[in-house]
Amino acid sequence: MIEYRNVKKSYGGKQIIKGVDLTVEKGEFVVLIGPSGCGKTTTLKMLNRLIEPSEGSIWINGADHREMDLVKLRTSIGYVIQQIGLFPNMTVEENIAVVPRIMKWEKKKTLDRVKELLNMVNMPYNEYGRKYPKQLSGGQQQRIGVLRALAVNPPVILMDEPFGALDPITREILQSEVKKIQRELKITILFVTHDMQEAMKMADRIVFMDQGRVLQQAPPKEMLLHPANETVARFIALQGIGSRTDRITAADLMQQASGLAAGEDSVTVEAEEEVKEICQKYDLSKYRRICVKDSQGLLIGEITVGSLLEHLTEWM
Amino acid sequence: MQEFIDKYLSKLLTAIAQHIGYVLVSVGAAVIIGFLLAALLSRGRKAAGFVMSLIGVFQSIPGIVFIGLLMLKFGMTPFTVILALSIYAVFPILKNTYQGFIDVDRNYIEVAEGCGMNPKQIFFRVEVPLALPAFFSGVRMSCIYTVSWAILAAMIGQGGLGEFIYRGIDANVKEYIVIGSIPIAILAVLFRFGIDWLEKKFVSKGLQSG
Ligand SMILES: Nc1ncnc2c1ncn2[C@@H]1O[C@H](COP(=O)(O)OP(=O)(O)OP(=O)(O)O)[C@@H](O)[C@H]1O
Ligand SMILES: [Mg+2]
Repeated sequence: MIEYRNVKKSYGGKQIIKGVDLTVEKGEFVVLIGPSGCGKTTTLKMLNRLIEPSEGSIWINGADHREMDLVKLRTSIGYVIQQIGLFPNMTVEENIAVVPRIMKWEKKKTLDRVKELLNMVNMPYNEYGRKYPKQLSGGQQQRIGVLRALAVNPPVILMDEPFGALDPITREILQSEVKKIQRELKITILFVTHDMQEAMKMADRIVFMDQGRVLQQAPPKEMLLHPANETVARFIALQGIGSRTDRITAADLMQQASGLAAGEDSVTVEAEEEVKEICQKYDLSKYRRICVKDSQGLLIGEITVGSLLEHLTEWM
Repeated sequence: MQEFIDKYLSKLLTAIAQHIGYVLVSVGAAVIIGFLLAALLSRGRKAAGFVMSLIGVFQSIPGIVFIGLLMLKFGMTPFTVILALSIYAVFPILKNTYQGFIDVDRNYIEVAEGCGMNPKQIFFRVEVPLALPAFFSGVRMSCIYTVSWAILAAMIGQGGLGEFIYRGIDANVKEYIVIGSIPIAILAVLFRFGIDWLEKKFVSKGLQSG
């Protein structure tokens, strides 16, 4: 478990991080999001002490992270950054083996691990192990960056806009890969992005930052549905989440049933049905209410078409 | 001409050997000093600015004046020659290598730190390999210059191919000049190939073009 306790950071009298409290559970995928310059990278780098907090403390599994051995701390936290993360003078194999080498793993163990990791992303060792970063595509490079962070099975990984420079298709593929690996290995990930769609897809919890403060922490859906304030709402709206309501279902929007039975002015949908599908399936302009039933067919709530439209415009 | 070569062949070979010796020893010394100084200066960038401009001033002293001054102190000895040549040979190596270290992208260093490397590991595993191409271009320049500058050895009677050239000028015999200069040109080319070869061998394939 990771705990930021009232962490602040100043540069020359200017406070950049203004008291961040943040708890990350083991195995949780937390995404830091917010406008450029809001302090995401700084918050991230304070964890592996690339930047030292000016005030407050960070606790990892009950220990103040400043009292931990620096090399131990860093080798137990994988680190992935945007673009030029790989060392150009090292082969793919050498890049992945950077941390095992620092930890003085045996050659055989390291080699086995390198092969295992490369297989995980379908880049066989025989074909890619001896290549240099410049001989790989951007997506392949970034994959290797992720593998390097995974090499010694660290419990925590920090990722700072790791896919920012990739084309949309490659980005989606890598997002899925990382999410899958994270779930399987139960790794704790702190992930920085300024792309709301990416945050929606990856996060168990999104932490919204602005001007060195955390404005809201919530699971993706909740943040979409109930942005804590104007700033968050506008940020979401500006990113065109409207086209991306995939994960929101009727159950998320429904309110208590008004008591009126389903009738001429209503459609009836299943609780699990996604809002996007509902909009496509029915001509909602003909109805006033959407009745929501559970899997047994029991009426459990309703959505007024008016409130749905309000939400939709909010997300646009 | 052939006759001339036959007559002076053994002298010529000695001169070539001396010349090569001067170049190897002074560039060798310059490599060590230049590299260490560059590594050191790239740690303290404030001091570096001052030192580099000082070196710039130093470098603009003509070689002939410089070797003359050293001669007053150390006499007409091979040591004087090597000292003077070494000092000049340091400049290109120092400048290029220093720039090479400076140009190492901050991000690489930060990632290395983030991975848990200590300063020594960062230096040897990241900074040096990345600065190596610049270092080699410095060594290449240094070698090529030194091959020409080594002519100055003859000025204080310490042999080398300069002997033929000076004598040729003095006595106005063009054969002397030719058999002195051609080996110098060939040596410059050979040294260049030598350095290219070393560079290919020591610089990571990931940093070489092509
Ligand atoms: N070393 C520094 N000295 C002074 N100010 C700094 C320093 N590093 C960062 N800052 C400032 O701190 C603020 C937060 O920077 P940070 O890099 O954490 O932002 P970010 O949220 O990661 O932004 P982006 O999305 O653009 O990467 C910025 O306003 C930046 O200018
Ligand atoms: Mg950033």
